[in-house]
Amino acid sequence: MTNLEELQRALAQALVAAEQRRSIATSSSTDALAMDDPALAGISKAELQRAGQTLIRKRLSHIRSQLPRMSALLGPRLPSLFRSYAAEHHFTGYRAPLRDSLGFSQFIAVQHELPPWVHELARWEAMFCHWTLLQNQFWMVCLRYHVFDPAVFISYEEEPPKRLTIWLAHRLGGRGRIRRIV
Amino acid sequence: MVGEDAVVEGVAVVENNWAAGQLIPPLGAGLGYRDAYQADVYRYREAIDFLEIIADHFFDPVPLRARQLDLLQAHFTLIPHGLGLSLGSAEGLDENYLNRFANLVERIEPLYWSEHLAFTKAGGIDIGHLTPLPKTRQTLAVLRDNIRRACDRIQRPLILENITETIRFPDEQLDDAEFLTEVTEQNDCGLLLDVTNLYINSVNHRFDPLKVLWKLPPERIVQLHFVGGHWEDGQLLDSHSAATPEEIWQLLDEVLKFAPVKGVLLERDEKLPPMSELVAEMERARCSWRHHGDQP
Repeated sequence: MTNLEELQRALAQALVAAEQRRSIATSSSTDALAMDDPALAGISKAELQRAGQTLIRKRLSHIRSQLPRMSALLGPRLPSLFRSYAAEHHFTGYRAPLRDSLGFSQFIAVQHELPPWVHELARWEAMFCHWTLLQNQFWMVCLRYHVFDPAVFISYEEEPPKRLTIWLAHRLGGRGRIRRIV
Repeated sequence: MVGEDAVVEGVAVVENNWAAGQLIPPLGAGLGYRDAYQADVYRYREAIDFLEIIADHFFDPVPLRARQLDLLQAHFTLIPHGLGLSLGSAEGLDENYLNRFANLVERIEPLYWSEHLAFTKAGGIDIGHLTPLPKTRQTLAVLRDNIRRACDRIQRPLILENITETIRFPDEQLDDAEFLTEVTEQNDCGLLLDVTNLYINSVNHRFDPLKVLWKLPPERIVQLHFVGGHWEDGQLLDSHSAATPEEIWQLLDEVLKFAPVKGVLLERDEKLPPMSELVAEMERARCSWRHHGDQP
């Protein structure tokens, strides 16, 4: 019988190690993973693939919660964009959902095929993740589009109204109050 | 109420002994607290008998978060529910995580705390997700060591939750019911029976959930979780994303007939509906709990 510690280490590797993650993120859940760690002998590769997909799905649910406006704007494009991102990135620790959200918004901000207002919304929502993650900091975001106002409906297809806005925020210490000037 | 005072006192005195767990008072119908409902939980205060908070979300709270926690505690019975203690890790517990969990428990002094029968960390990797354990004697030994360490540090009754098993292992020595029974009895813990997880496992791995239920020790089943999932690629997923389906309500009723459950809790995480819909589900659960459990 496989030692439990070896089995768990192999499982953790299979679910989140870079090579396997790319395989999980880019193939359908019915494709079996390519792996040959003897500690995993007898475990269904299709089940492992599904477990990996479940993990990516869970990360995506955090993205929807942390970046709600960008997620809504991307709509059905979100899962495939997130899978492309997840193939290359995995964060750990209790702040992993925040780091993931920050990483994904930075990923979106450089996807040239997306409209510029999506990039702006990504940078704006990323600011909130930064605020939570970082300590002493000043932050500035310049926006050309009126994307930050929840009262303004933004569509992926239609260019939103332009309004030059500068957000300045600062926070002294990880437990300090966030102060902002718009 | 005299009885309730005695219960709280009993928990404080007989820490980590299931005699204390058996003194947990009836709780009723609860809700898994999510920030999206932070205003609604007060608006619907009368419809919520207790709240389960994700412990990880309240570790080392900044002042604003600490005030939210204090306010919740002033209005509700709070039960901390852990996600990342990784009780099944063969390499042992993360002491830093354990200490933060213990600090939270010391702060809110709950009736009990809960964690999953799973591992989330191995070989320096934090998977970030509850991963199943093989049901073997070796796993029982690992759990025994880790639970003992956790209960030495967190001196309140512990209840353990069954998870959805995306992976089944070869050469398992115990079946589902034997494993849950052994873990809770060897470690003198309660069971947080996630009815949805039991149902999902029974569908995905093709077994009768009642046959598992009826082999469990009823006196150990303290709390239930329920919610709906969704289908994907021929598998039922525990996504916490839908209203509770009728099949799970029926199984919940069977559990309530079988065990003297203290509390039933709805845990919704995705596609969050208006609070009124959650309140309706809680009300249905409360009615079943009162009806079958002969509760006040």
